[in-house]
Amino acid sequence: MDSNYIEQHLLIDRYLQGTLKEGEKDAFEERLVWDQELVDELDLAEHLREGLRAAATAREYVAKPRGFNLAAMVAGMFAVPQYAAAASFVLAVMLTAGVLLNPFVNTGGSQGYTTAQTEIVPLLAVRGASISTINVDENAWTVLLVDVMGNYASYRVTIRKDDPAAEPIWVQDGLTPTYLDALAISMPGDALDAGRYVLSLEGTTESDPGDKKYEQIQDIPFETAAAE
Amino acid sequence: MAKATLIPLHKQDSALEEERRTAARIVRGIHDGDSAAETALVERYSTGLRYLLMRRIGDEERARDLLQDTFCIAIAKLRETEIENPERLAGYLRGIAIRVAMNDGRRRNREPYLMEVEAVAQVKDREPRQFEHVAREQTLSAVHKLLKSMPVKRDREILTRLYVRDQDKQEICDALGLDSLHYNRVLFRAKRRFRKLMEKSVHTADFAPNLG
Repeated sequence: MDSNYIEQHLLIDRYLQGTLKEGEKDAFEERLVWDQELVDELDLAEHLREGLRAAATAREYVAKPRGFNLAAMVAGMFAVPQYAAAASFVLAVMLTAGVLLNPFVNTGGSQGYTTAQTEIVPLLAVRGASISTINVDENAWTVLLVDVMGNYASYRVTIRKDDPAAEPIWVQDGLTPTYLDALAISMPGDALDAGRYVLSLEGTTESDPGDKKYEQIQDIPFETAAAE
Repeated sequence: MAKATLIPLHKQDSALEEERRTAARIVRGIHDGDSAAETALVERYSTGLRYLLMRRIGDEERARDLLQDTFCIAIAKLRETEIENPERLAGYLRGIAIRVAMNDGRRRNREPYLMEVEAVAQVKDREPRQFEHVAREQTLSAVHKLLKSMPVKRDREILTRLYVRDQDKQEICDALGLDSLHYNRVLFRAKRRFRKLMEKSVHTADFAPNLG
């Protein structure tokens, strides 16, 4: 197997996906045994794959912001009586709370951080409220803060288009509340095309990862529009 | 009359030619009792075999032990017998490594091969890879910069569909209305750009995120 074949047939990515045919895989691995450059290319593709997957779920982006007191900002909003009261009901109110400098994006500058923007959108549940619209910048990150209820060990969030037949576009289980009992869900803006969505929140009381049964807590509908 | 010249469509793979010559030389050397050839074998094939073993068993320490076993078996055989295609030594070694890994899975307690092979001492405890020390945050940062540097949404979508959703090329091209050439070009450029960003991360020694 020569390097032209590997390049033209995208064998590196197909190898990582596990979709090479048996003969191709044998020949590819034979080359891997002696070709240091190929090992490096695979290593790079693995990093890219892992990075994109992490970015897609991107919980890391809101895990522990440094240099920015997200907790204080959210606390300020939740201190407003009507929002605090609203947290125990069902339906959606959304506020565009502000723009956060993404603290984990490094540019090698003096502080090491760049000006990548993240919209923070508290997604509170309020009975009887109309569905609000989030303005999503496709070049920025959007963080949905979901207020959680009940005493669960962890939560699962599923986001899908508001269509019973739609496939989930985002699913994550094992979530635990971060700030003020809110789950922080970070998504690249371009994952949220303009349209109507439903965020389903489920909870489990089981702490054993192999034995989790989730109970439905609530569905929160919301709508997105492209930011101007 | 003008002379016709054949222009090869593909660049010649000189590395492959070099490998075939080197492999044949190593095989002949080991068979002739040359210990330097045994050392050359270990040095040349350690990185790739270790990577393969790591992918199969996912444990660095065990991969190193199995790598040593692989070389012990290979050297013992190459000393005593002549293999059919010496220029395809890599394939021969890969076959041994796979069998060693499979047998290891069946054995409850691994017993080391008792054979004395001096060259096997050359096997390092760890094989540093180029991007091994790049922190997760730096990888994320490089990915973020890469995505920002891609102005066309459809091009970014290719990466997401390929690496996050594990879709195959045809599926992605069909869904996005792309031709094969465009798909390959976007991937090639994205990887080249990502490599540069990652190489910069490797050299950014002062970036040490404190997440505690």
